[in-house]
Amino acid sequence: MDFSKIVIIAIFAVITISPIKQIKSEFAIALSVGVSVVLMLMLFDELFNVVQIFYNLSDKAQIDSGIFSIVIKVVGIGYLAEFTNNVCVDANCKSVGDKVILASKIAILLCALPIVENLFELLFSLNL
Amino acid sequence: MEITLIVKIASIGILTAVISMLLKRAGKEEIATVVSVVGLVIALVMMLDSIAQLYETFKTLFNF
Repeated sequence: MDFSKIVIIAIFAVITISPIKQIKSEFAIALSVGVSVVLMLMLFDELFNVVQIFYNLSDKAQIDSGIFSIVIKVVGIGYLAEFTNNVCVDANCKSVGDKVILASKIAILLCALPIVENLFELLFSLNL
Repeated sequence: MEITLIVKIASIGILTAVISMLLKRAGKEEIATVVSVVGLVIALVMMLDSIAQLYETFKTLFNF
């Protein structure tokens, strides 16, 4: 995942995309999606280590791994939504991108609901 | 490995563009549109396995 490789690939891709935009605009969109997919794939090798380290930290701190996996899931939903939104805005369909963002917010909310529930159970159990 | 995907899709794009232009010159409009659609489909199918791989890593990484 050396950073310079990603920079070189990005610049090379932008240079190839710009002439194709004039000749045939459908391929420009397909190419930009392909490039972002390839760059994302290259980044994930590092992300695996980061997530692993976070899991070890949460085990050491005796945090329940279920809660922590929800946090990681929310981060993943955020990444995916942002990726799709950028692709949609690139293809200048902003409305579709906004729908994807709205869907990701709802998905995050659904993920976070159990945590809020057991927070309230905790509060009620204190019966102040 | 990554650059080959980009170069392949770019070459398919340029190829279909040239072919459809030639066909338009030769007066066969409908074949030109068919060729451009087919080229687009080929490019998308080529990208399909990398998108599937991306989705797979997403699922394993963020345990969807």
